[in-house]
Parts: sequence; C-alpha cells; structure tokens
Amino acid sequence: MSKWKQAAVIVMIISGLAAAGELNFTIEKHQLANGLMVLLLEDHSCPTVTIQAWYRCGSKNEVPGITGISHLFEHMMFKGTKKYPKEKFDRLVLGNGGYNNAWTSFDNTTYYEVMPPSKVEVAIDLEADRSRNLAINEQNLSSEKQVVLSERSMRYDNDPFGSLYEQIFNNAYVAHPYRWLPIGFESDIKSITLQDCLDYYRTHYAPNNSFLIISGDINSKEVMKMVEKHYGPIKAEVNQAPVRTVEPPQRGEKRIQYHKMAQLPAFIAGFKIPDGKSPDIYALKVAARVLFGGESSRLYRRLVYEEQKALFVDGEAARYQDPALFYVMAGAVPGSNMDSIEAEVWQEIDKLQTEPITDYELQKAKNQLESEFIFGMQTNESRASMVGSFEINTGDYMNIYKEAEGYRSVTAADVMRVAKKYLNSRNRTVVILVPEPPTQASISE
Amino acid sequence: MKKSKIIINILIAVLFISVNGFAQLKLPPITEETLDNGLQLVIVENHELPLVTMRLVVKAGAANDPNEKAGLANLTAGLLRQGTATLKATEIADKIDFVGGSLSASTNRDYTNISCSVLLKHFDVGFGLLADIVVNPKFDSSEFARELNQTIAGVIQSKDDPDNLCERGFNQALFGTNPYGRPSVGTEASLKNITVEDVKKFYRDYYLPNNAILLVAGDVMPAAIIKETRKAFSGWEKGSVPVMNSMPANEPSGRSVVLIDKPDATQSNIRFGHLGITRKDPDYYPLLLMNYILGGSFTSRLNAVVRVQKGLTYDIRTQNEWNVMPGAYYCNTYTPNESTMIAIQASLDVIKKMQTELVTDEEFNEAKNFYSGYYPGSLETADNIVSEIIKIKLYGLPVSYIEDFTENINKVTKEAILKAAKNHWNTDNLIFCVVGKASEIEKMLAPLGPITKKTIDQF
Repeated sequence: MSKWKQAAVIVMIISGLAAAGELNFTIEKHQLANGLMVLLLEDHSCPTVTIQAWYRCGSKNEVPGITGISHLFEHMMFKGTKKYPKEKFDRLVLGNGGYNNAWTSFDNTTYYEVMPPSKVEVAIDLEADRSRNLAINEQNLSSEKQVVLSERSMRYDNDPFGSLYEQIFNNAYVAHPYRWLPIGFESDIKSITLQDCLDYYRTHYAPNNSFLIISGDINSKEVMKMVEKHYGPIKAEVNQAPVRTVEPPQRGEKRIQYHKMAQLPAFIAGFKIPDGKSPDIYALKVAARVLFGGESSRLYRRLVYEEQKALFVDGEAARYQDPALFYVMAGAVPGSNMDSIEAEVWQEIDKLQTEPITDYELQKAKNQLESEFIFGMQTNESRASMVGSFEINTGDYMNIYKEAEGYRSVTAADVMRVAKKYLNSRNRTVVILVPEPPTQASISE
Repeated sequence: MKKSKIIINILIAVLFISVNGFAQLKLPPITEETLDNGLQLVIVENHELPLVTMRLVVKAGAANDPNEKAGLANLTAGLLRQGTATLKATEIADKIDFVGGSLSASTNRDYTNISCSVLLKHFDVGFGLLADIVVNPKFDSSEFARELNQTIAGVIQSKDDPDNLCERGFNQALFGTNPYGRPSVGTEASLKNITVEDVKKFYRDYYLPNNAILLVAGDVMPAAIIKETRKAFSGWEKGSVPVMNSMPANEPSGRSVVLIDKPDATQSNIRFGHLGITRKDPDYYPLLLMNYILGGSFTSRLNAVVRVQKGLTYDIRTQNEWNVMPGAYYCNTYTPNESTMIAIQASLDVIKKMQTELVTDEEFNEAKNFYSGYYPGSLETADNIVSEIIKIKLYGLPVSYIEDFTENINKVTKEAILKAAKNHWNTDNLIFCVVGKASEIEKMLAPLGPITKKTIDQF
C-alpha cells in the first residue's frame, strides 16, 4: 500500500468516527458447506493475527447435576488429540511465537490464539483438529477436576465479592439456567464423568454450532483456503436443542443475608432486564452511566465523595443472550451503616423513574459509551471479541454497526421509561454480605 | 522562554525488522524533546484510531516514602485530581467524565504514573487537565482527610484478598526495613502518621520537571504536541531532586516461614523466594528464558508438574520483580489446605532439577521462538510502546532496547540458562509466606523451618 493511500484511509476513519460513529473495519462473512460461519477482519496495521473459535454453548446449556461442565470441558480441550497429543497444543502455539487461552460464559465458550501472521495456519489446524478429535481419559479428567475446584475456591469460595456475585445469580433466577455460574457447583464438578464430557462434546462441538473469527494481518483469500482445508472435511451434526426454560416474572423483592468472614459489609443487587436483542439495553446502559460512570456520577458523588459512607459503588446493565441483570454493588467504609447506603442507592434509582436526567448527563453518558466503544477496538483481539459478543448476545454480529446509533438515539424520556419498567423494587434481588469475625467463621467451618 | 530543540529521533518513519522469518517489528514514528526546565517529552504516533493516551511519569514512588509514612507517594498521587489552584475536585471529575475520558494516578515502588486517555476530539480537555493537576495541585486539607480515610478503608478491605496478604507478609519478611518491604499503598498505622504537610513536601521534593517524563501516544502530530507541552508545562519550575539512600536488602539465611492465619480459608496461598536481580542486570535475558521454562508460561515445568500432572492448583508461576533495586524472585501458587506441603515440596523439587541439568532442545527453542514471535505483536497499541520506552528511561536501558530485544533473546545459550538457574535460585535460603487455615496447615509446614505466626489484624 502506498503512503498516499494510507493517509487517505486515515482521514476517512477519523471523519467517519467523528461524524457518525461508524466502524473503521469491514467484516467479511463466509459460510462452509458444513455450516461453519467464518468472519474475517483484515487489517494490516499490526503484525499479529487473532484466531477465535466460538462455540454456541455455555453454562446455560447445562442441567442440574452437570453444572460447570461447559467450563470443565473448556479445560479438557487442552488435553490433546491423536495428532497433537498432551501438551503439544500449547507448545505449538507458544513455540511459534503466539499465545492462547479460552473463556466460558453463560452463552458461549471461546478459544483463541494470537499468532504472528506467518503462523496462522498452525492455529487453524490445531483448532479444527481438537474440535473433533479430542482424546481425553479418566486420568486427565480426574486431575483437571482438581484444577477447576482450585479455581472455584480462588474465585468464589475464598473471595467475599466472588461469593456475592455467585449468590446474586443463585437467588435472582428460579428457573432459567443463569441461576448457576459457568464455574458450576462444587458437588457437580466433583461428580461429572468422562461420559458426560464425551456427550457434551458430541452435542455442542460441531461446525454448525460454532463460528470462527480471524482478525488482523491476514490475506483473506489465503486464510479461507486454510480454513477450507482444515474445517471443510468435518461433518455437520444434528443441532443441539435450544434452551427451553423461560424465567418467570419476579413479583417481589428477594433479600438474602450472606454470612462470611470479611472485613467490611457490602451488598449486591440485581434487577431483571431483557435479553441482548432488546433495544431497551441502550437506555439501561445510559442509566448505569448516570448512576455509576466516573467520579461525577450521581451515586459516586453522593455516597463516596460527599457523604463518605461508601468505599465503592458500581453497576452495569449486562447484555446476555437471554434476559439478564442490571446489577448494583456497594461496599461500606468502616463505621458506616450498610442499610443507609442501600436506602440511598434506591433513592437515586427511584429518582430516575420520576425526573428526567439532564441534557448534560445524557450527553455525558453518550460520550462515555462512545469512548468505551472506540477504546475497546485497539487490538485485533479486542475487535474480534467484540464482534463475537455481538453475534452471541444479539443474534447477529452485524448489530455492531448499529451500536453507536443505538446510544445516540436514547432520550431522557427513554431512561425514565426503562427505569420505571425494570429498575423497580419488585423486580430486584438483594444479597447482603454480613461480615463475621475470624473466630466465629472458624467455628462455623 | 528559550527554544528547546529535538534531541533524538529514535526512529524515523516506519521501521521493519525481520526476525527469524517471524513477525516483523513495526514501530511507529517516535519523537523526543526536552524542555528547558528539564521535562522530557516522548511522542509516539499511531493513527489507526482517533484516540490519545498520555502519561506523566514522576521518578519517585513508594521507595521514596519515609519509613514510618508508607503510602505517602500513593496518597500524593491520588490527591492530584482532588483540586487545583483553579478547579475543585468535583469540577475536574465533571470535565473528564463529560468527555468520556479517564484520568488517574498510580504509584509503584520506583515511580508514579499519572495517566489520561481521551478521544482525539477531546485532546484539549484531557491534556489541559493532566497539566493542571500535575503543575498546580492544591492539596486542600478536607480533600486530604477524605482521600486518607478512603485509602485506609481500601487497605482494610484488601485483607479479604489472600493473595494480597501473602504478598505483604512475604515482602515484610524478605525486605525488612528496606523500602521494598513496605506496601506501596501503606498500612493503617503508617497512613495515620501522614499529614497534609507531608503530602505538600513530597510534592515539592519530587514533582519536578527535571524528575519527570511526559509521554503522549496516539493519533497526534508531534509539532503540535511539542507546542502544547511548552505552553502548559514551561511554568513548572525545576529544582534539585533529593538523593535517596539506597539500602540493599539482606538475603535470607536459611529457611523460615511466615504463617498468616485465615481461619475460613479452604485453600492456602503460598509465596516463597528470596532476592532477585534488577532490571538492568546483564543476566536479564538468560533469566527471562530460564524463568519461562521454569514457571513463566503455561508449558513451564512447574505448571506441568504441579497443575497438569498433580492437579494441585489452578495457577503456579515464578516471577522476578523488575525494579531499580533488586526486587524479589519468587514462586507463588495456591492449593487446597490438605495439599499445602505437597505443593511446596513438588515446586522445590522442580526448581532444584532446573539447577542441575541443561534444558531440552524443545524447551529451549520454544522459549526463544515465543519471545521472538510474541514481542513485535505485543507493541500493538501506542500505549504498549510507551510502557517499553518508560523502561528504557527508568532503568537506564540502551535506547536500542526495543529493536535489539529479539537479537538479545537469540544470543542466550542453554549453558547461560543453566547458569542463571544456579545463580538466581537458592533453595537453601528461602522465605516462605503462607496464608491459610493455621489449625489445619501449621503442623505440616514445620519441616520447612521456624514458623512465625501472624493474624490478619497485624497487616
């Protein structure tokens, strides 16, 4: 590419973003005969390529008894195949100058590699191979269950905030599988069998239940040849059944007292909000910025800065495939009263239902959302993750192009409407962390 | 005002360096300038997205805190955005939040980092605020009292984090009265010793243009940035920077254990080690590769044995702290109460083996290839490049450090790796810190050495 062309592209990007918030990258879509969707984001500004394999399965596809299997299985995907046994997977990625990892959430399980451009095929080959040919056994399952139990202890059981986070989902949902976290319950992790894993693998890990995103310094045509070569021969499977359970409406506040050894009291609350396709998400995200966005936000200024009662206050409107939570979290400073902090949080939320936010606050929230969106696109990896999240959470990756317009069109009246509809006391679950001194905790163990 | 001039252009235009047929190092233009008052300015251009990240680095950190006032550097940094000569704390928050930017300060052992990120169209707001809080902070006494109470509350809350407790206990035992033994954020007791006058003095002593570097990265034009910097920072008066008496810490002799009792713990957090090497040490590259193979990657020997084979933990790693003075070289992990001693013994065995034989060809090639391939891509954002430049400036590394990185990695031999393992691990002289349920684990730790038992309240 000549220097002149480069300069022209830059000008377009800036004016585009400044004027309309359009994205400065194009997404090329391909579909293999076996149903695998491939999204390519060609961009030559940095010599890296991210390869992400997204499976449309997460903890919401589990049932009681095998909770946590999606995440445990994610760990098992690193255990090797006949072609690349044992730790060969990691050795090949790292030894070719790349790095890799994976994550499991409610709605998806995603694996990724970040490679130098000349080593893209190494990752495509490895991902295609393990999507069908995994060789796992009783022995490596048994030791990996111990690893996952250790992860669970670290993230949730031995961390008061991790515990609160688990509790809010355990208690806010009564029917829908969001009621357990992707980590799963301890007893289920312990009792999952090799057969459970193999069944899970066969059902969910098929080309027609997954998609690839390849982002960065690639030649799209060349990369598609590699994808065809490695994924083409893999057969489609009968599609998994979608989750049938619909969470029934909540008709009153739920309050949970959670006793745990901790230094300071805190609480977490969750209001039920709609799924990721709902246009109400934009106004809810604006509401979250007005309440929690920076030190000038309503709740930070009141509780942390002026009254100095809270150590922190935070919240967000989560976007998932199925109806999600608008969550709020606050912690007290020593000597301050948790009840009064909670009461003031509700006062500020109630105010959103009765008084329109100011034009200034609305514009501030929109500026914050725009900034988050653009800063979130700095790397090949973060761009790919964002595109994948839109596909999973909104049902269509193309919605990423509508995001900026979605925020821009929010009005003060919209914020008031969604606050009334969703952020009301009948629709909320509250979990209160009641700190216990060390001696008591010791006895209760 | 005299005209300053461009001192070095590290690299002009786009530079490509081919490395072993791997990725190419592709650095954007970098411009350097020094103002008359001594403020160094570094500009990194990246025109991909319309955003700017700015960092002002003051070469004073927690190590510069007076012994009984640990947390002073951190508190001073935190107070910068809580009011200037012309703006109240609330006005600063309003301005930065309105443009969707971020403005924050953080302190580590060696330096203080004041950062601001904004979209390019809001550059004036971000740059103006950054300059104002650095040059004209007010340190109002009511803001001081509020920030102090918040910081103390944060210290109290952090006692719920076993990894944080383990780090504190380990550093205290290893470094003793050396400045690196104190937590950067301070302790409840040390914070209560600090007055607003201490903060003002710390600022007067260390926040000097000739003790600072301003780094601006993103979609910017160097000429314009140089002009803006002169306008905003020329009034900042230079001064003489106090010289810190560096006190080397003592290596541990023999093995000893600090056990912090956390009666509700189901896992033990473990950290053990001794002093490591400084960032400037000539053994940096051999140690980097040795550490990758020992405990610095997912394919490391420690991960293979303790996590993959034995299933004792989700995470185990070894790390040398890269500081101006020697930091710690340690191993840390966590494991269920009952396997505490098994995990420690297994880790020690792996470390000892590392000191007795050459690494395999497979390990050697993987480690080198990893760094050769990974490093160029790790400079993807302008802010990543800024982090590397800060290392050059603070640790006195050669200007060509970024370009020479892969070459230096490829110069390391297997013999040098073995030598690094022998020289930089000493399993006879170790400090162990374990945070866990004492009633279940104290007895099993006894063979390690004398145990000093502590409660969470002592931190």
